Amino acid sequence: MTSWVNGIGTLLVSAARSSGFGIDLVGQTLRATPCLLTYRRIKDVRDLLFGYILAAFPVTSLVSIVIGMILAIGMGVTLEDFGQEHRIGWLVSATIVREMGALMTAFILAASLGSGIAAEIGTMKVSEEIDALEVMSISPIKFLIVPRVVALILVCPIMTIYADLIGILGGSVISSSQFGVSFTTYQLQALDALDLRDVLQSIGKALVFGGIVAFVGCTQGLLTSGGATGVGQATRRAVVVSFLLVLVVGYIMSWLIYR
Amino acid sequence: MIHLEDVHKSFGSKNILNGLDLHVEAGETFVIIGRSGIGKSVTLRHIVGLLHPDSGTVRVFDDDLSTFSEKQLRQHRRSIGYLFQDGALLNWLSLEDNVALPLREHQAGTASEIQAKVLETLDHVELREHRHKLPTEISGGMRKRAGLARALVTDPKIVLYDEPTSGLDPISSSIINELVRDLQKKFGMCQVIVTHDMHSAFTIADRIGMLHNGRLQAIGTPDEIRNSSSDAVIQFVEGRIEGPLSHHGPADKSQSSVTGTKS
Ligand SMILES: Nc1ncnc2c1ncn2[C@@H]1O[C@H](COP(=O)(O)OP(=O)(O)OP(=O)(O)O)[C@@H](O)[C@H]1O
Ligand SMILES: [Mg+2]
Repeated sequence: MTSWVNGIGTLLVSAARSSGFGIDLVGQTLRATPCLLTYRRIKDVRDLLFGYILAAFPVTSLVSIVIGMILAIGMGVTLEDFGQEHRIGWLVSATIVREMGALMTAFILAASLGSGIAAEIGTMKVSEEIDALEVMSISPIKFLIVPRVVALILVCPIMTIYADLIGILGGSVISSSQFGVSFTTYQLQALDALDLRDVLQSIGKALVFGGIVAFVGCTQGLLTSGGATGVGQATRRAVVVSFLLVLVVGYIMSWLIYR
Repeated sequence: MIHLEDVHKSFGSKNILNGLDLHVEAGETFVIIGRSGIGKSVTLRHIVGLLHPDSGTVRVFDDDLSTFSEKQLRQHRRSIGYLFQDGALLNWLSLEDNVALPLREHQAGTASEIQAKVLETLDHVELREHRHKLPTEISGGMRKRAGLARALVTDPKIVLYDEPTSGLDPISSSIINELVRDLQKKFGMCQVIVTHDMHSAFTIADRIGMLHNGRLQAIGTPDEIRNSSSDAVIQFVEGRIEGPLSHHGPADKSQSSVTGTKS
């Protein structure tokens, strides 16, 4: 009995500690952003950006096309009952662009890039590389955190738009092969479902999710202690915390947008 | 040049430094010896302000570090070089870029000036032909030498070495010892070296201090240490299992219990 009470207590304390650290990190990072005006940091961001896009590309493609197909099947079956299967494109694209696209991209990036950032920075922490930067008077915030955060915040909307497109494409394959809806109809319906506002909201969400994934990864990385095991824990925590935060913040944002 | 006075430091309930006094003069090479986990690295970290004492003062270049702002601390660190236990090189940068890093980040000269300085420093540690390799592609001894090059490239007035020869074969160790001595002669820096390696301590030290129970217990020239009559010093230098160090050392419990039953 006392042991799990203790356990929960420890958990709450460490959660409070890392949230405090994370919020402080956001502040420090914002104050350090002017360092992006140097050519070296811009180059860092560019290199990271390309690396991140390459790393996330295969998973994002696969997951989005399958999600698009699943949505199309589920919705197609229901719509067919009402004789409305030509509306599949409308429903798929509205669902993906308004909600699913940004959310699933954030999950993919948390699992592939956020965890990677936590592991990378955690390893640097336990092998004294962060201390070495401090001793060389190089700010780890400017040198490591700012470029990673900026690159991830940029990657997230890019990958979200890509995921939206691929998801809609996946839906079209199903709607034509399983429900006999022509590509043209599907396309027209898909476009009809959206206006500029939907797309902008999707991008806005993606920017916020990118920030969450980046800061959670960096926070967990910097808080790493205790060798290789510690790095493993930091990586796992980065993914779990990102997922939870993205869900909660995503819900709040949808609520604000649509209610 | 470096003055630690009555420094106390605990981590949680673990008391590591307990009234440590350490004074190192300009141009001097001071070697700190002591058992694993006794607080040698912790002592070095205080000198660069990576750790702050619970009580006591740390003065370096006659400045009290506790009065420093973050910015002043950064400025302060620029005249200190620090060789970390495992080199602490950034593993996505080549050796050359690692060594150039502090100069480039502080824009200490034009690209070609920096290049020249980096090559010169890499020559000192005999790594010029390996400069395009990544830290993961070279041996531990080479990583240490690269770490040394990075610590020295900014022409520091104080250099701190955390176990520069640990994990190296005797020949590589001698190369590092020689290097450390030569560089000191050439540039006259003030050096603090942490090591377990008694041979290297005796070769490079002006003075040696043995850390135990949170203080420097015995301080003296290599000859004084070699001929010391203190049981603790003799035990450490000769590497005996039994002796005064075994009972209080925080390290291996198994070892102290073995000696405990024997004595
Ligand atoms: N940041 C820290 N937080 C908690 N404990 C620490 C911290 N830094 C050091 N310690 C503890 O302080 C003790 C002394 O550590 P230190 O690294 O100075 O040992 P050392 O003398 O350098 O040993 P070694 O020769 O093995 O490197 C160790 O028990 C270590 O666990
Ligand atoms: Mg140490």
